[in-house]
Amino acid sequence: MYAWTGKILRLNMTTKTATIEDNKYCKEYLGGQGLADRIIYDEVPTGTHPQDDASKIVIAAGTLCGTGAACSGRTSVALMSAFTEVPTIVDAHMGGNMAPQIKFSGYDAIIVEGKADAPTWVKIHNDEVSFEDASGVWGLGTRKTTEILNQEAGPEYCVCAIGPAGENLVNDSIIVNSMCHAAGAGSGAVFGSKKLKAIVIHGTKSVAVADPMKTLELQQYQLRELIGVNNNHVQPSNQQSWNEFVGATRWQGGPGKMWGEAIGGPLDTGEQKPGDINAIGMRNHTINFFMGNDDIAFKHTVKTGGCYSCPIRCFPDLHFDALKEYGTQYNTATCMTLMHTGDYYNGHINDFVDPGDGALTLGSHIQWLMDDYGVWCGYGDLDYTFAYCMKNDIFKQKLSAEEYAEIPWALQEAGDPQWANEMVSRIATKKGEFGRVLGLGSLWTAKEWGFPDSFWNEATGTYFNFKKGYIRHHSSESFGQVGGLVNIVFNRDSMCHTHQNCLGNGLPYDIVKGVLEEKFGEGCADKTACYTPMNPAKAKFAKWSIVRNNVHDSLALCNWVWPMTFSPMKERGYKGDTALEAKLLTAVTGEEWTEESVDFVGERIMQLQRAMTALELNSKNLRADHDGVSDWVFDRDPDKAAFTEGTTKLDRADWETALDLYYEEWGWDKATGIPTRATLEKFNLADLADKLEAAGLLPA
Amino acid sequence: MTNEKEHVTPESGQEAMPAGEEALDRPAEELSPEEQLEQEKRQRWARCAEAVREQGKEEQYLTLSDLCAWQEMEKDDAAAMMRELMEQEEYKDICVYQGAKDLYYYTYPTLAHNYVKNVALAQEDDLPHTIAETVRYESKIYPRATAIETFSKFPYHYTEIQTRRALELMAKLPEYADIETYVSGKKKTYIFSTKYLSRAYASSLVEMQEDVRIWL
Repeated sequence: MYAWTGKILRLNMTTKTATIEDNKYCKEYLGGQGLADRIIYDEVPTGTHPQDDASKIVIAAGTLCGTGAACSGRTSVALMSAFTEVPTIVDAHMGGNMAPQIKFSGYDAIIVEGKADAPTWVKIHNDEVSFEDASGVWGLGTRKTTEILNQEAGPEYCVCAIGPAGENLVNDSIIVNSMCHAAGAGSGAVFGSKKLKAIVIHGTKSVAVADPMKTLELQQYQLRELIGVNNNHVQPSNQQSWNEFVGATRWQGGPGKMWGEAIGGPLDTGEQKPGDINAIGMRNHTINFFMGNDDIAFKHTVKTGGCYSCPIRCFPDLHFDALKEYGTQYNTATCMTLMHTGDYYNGHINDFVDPGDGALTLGSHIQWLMDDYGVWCGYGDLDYTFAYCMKNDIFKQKLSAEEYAEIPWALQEAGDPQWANEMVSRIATKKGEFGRVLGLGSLWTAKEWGFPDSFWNEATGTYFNFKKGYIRHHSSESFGQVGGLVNIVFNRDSMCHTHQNCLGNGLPYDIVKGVLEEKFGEGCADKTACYTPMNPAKAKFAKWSIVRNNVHDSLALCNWVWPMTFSPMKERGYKGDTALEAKLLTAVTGEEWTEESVDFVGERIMQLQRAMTALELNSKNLRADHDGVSDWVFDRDPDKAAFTEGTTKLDRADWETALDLYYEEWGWDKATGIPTRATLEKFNLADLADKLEAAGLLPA
Repeated sequence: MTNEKEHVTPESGQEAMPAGEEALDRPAEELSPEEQLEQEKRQRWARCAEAVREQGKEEQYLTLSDLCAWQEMEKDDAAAMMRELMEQEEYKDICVYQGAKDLYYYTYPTLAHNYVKNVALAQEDDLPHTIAETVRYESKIYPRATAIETFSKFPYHYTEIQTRRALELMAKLPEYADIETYVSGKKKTYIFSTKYLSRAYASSLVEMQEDVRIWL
């Protein structure tokens, strides 16, 4: 068999046994997210809490992992959620080095089930699996754990560990591989509930590729002509000799842009012409993009880094002398958590060495700690909740006087790095009400502390989904209704970048519009903050965004870079190649795949998740029970009407039309938003239709 | 082109310039006067095109002024010669940007049109004109308001004080009546053209761009 290993490794933590089983879902679900979701559906009873005995977690590599495809090192994780009202299927994802080691060990996925009676780590080397005593690392952070287990097993192993947050069953917890690549959604607590401290894995097998030369040719074609940087921004943020356009993009490298702490002295990242594949790794600097234009992040950069098989390098290695006394001076990160220093410090940020370095230095410190303690930020959910509590004096109101007095707020006010240690460690160890409640996730924090509905409706536009416990992720600010529709289908922040990667990529609007309209039809892509009423082309764009996201998470390609909708090359008219995934899949499997057949699988995965969600919510009407939108979406900018220049607000009646058209595209019942039997059967999901019908949830 | 690199002139690179290919096969003495003229013209085209291409390899353009000095030609004659050259199929990569003070010949796509335009604007050193050209282009094409710091970066390298003074001057001149500024919530100054962006739209685009959460 090409590309797939055809095998799944099952780890039973109760019996401490490992079994190898056939993967019967290779072609139907590809791998990664699709495979992992299907296994959860097959094996975990509806309603199972993620920390229950019956709960399982699936860690899956993608079909293209190990084949040399660019950005194919993502690992998909499927589990049940604890941060939502009821347990629902959720996906988490991480980069790093876990997925290739799973494939090289001979597996497409690992299923973890049962519960050990004592802390355990699992060592995997090809077919050899052992369950080891983890009492020596229980209680340690992920970094020290990784260091110790790499010493035990060998430096060639990938360590995927939990920190104290996972051990203490914190809803907002992560699993972390290679010290800094995390999958969230409470995955750490699932490991913790199973007393699983870490999976330590190294494989020496190979992934068979049907047509290696074609695969190489396609990869070179992508690198020469198609790929940009993170979010596939395809034009630099600075004028180089070759680029027609300059944008506020993550393509921050260029002449005079120096890695200030490069080994051997500052290094000029230089011109980065398309076609010069050796310069691709010099292009990206996501943190510098977010930190503004003073290049403070460049100054602290040793080099760019990142995941297995990725040329983009969105994780720079950073160094801060000022953090030496805290032991956090070396870090590698991309953007989240690091960007929210102001929230955690309530605006108390001071410079350390250079003007303007405070937010970056403190942000890196916090992010290092979050990874080490294994705390999940929920894509900013925790940050926003914390900031809301500060702004509204919630801590003073809800904590006991003793606990409030015991918290060293003076450290926060002083902008002291030690504040982050206090805050993160309290959450990870559930110390006091402060730690326990903040780690629950926004929904449960809001419930426990009685937040008013205005929490979800703040005009800052944080929670697109009303009272769901997960945050906006490129919603209506990204192509209006398109981004909004993308945000309603999952059970967490959408983590979909297919649409977002078309926005702010450095190209003028007319070029973006032209490429997208060729694919989805006239009117699919509105100008930023200049929206028009809903139309069928927008529904197609939104649906494709989700479908292709699922394809990526199943292959598993990085959706923070893929698809190749645009190109940096003017010779191509800046048009990319959205068939590249199918071409690669054909080359590696030796079987004919087309854009349509690949997207069919991506759609199947969404249909599966949608039906699972209806079952989990026991809902006859997902339109009402799941897809609700916060009022700010329609009420922001009160002095402006929807569909006028200068606002991203949507219109309530138009949104209902949007849902109608969107559901129609998916083949969901318009009234309820639940897949019809015909739709489910089209995707070979008759068993889901039967189950929905038995539960009285299938649309008539 | 690095920020520090000096502009390479044709004089400094003259030694490396090729003599050009023979346009006609026969020796010059065997050609009719008309053929000799044609041969000389084609040889000059070849030399000039080669010079432009050599400049392109250095990420530079060739100005009409430099071309005239090198070829010892009057400006009008040189410009006409280059117009004719650019009509030939073999020189279709040669393009020109017409600045206010000079013409700038370059090879495309080796150099981007906008790269040449921006470097030429910087070389002409007319800051109000540069601001107006850049701001109108960005307001129309992307569309977006232009951050004031744009003019402190390559290829312009003006100080922010210089840019602000230029804006004050422009505010008094009717030809720049469409150029307006907006100060964002983060206290950064942006410039936009009301020919292409309303104040309300420009300000909303600025605030969205500055809202980090939107782009995470």
